[in-house]
Amino acid sequence: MSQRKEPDYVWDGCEPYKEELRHVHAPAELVALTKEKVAAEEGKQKRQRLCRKMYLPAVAAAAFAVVVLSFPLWQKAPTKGLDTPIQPYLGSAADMPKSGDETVLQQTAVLPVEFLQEDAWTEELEGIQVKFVQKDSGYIAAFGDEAGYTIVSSKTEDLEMFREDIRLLLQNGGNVNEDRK
Amino acid sequence: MGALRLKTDEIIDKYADMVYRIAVNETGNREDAQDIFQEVFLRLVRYRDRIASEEHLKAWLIRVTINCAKKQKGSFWNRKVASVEKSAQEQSDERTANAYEAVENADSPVLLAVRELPEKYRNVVYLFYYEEMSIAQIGKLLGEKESTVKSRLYRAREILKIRLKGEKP
Repeated sequence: MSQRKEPDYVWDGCEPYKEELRHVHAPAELVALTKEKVAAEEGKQKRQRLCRKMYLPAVAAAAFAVVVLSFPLWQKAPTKGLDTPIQPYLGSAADMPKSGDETVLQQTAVLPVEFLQEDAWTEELEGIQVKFVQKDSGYIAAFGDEAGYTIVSSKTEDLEMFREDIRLLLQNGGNVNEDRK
Repeated sequence: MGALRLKTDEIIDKYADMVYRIAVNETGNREDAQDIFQEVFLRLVRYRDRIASEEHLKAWLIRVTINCAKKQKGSFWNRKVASVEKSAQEQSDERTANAYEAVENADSPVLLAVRELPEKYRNVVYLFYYEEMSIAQIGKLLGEKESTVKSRLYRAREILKIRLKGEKP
């Protein structure tokens, strides 16, 4: 305020100017109309905020649900066990199907490398040439030809029992484990 | 935080006259001033969350009113030609006291003289003499240096002196 009294800022017309302006008031109708418009705008903004609050979490939840539910599709569990579909036998580089002491069958187009080892041998069972080789604490056997081989693996340490399983298999062409009773 | 506590209606009641005066001061035209008045408070609804205090609110209202008046100038000239007939009729209808009618009838030479100042001088005269803001505050509000505000005030006073006293430059 003191600045207005400094010589550089003194203006003779200051008081008349202020007095005239004091008489300038916003018309009551204008104020009322403005309040109406402002209330309408506030209502509109509230509705927009509510929509965003309601729908955004729902959309986010739906997107999350889609991602979570589709996650299993990204990872297909490998199928294992008895009477399984044909899978390539990957030799010692792959894990053998684990099924306890039960015998597991697999079909393969190529004879696994294990059967090329020196300690592998061949026996004739039910008129069919069957190759045997010891693997880990169990045995694997293979029979077939260039068209395809059937690989039989077992964790049993009993060679005679394993041989019997192969014989049953060759006789029945069925599930070795069901026949072993 | 005080501004946040006030409802928009209360803010309008408190600052209606200030906004209207600035709008009239800037445009010299009641219709344009009314448009600007409504625009300012509609903008307040959109931006009030960003206003931190009542002091900030006052400065924000002044700045937005001045800016809206500047924007209005483009359409002001377009509408002026069309509204000539209408304004004469409206004047005859409206008998309620409107201090700016006095300006249009040239009964208030001071207001008339200020209204005729260039826009950049008009703002500082209003803010300095009526709102009693300091040079520094005006500079901050208008985004101008203090030296610029000072020289505009000086120049405005010289022009007003000439116009009000009829002195020749």
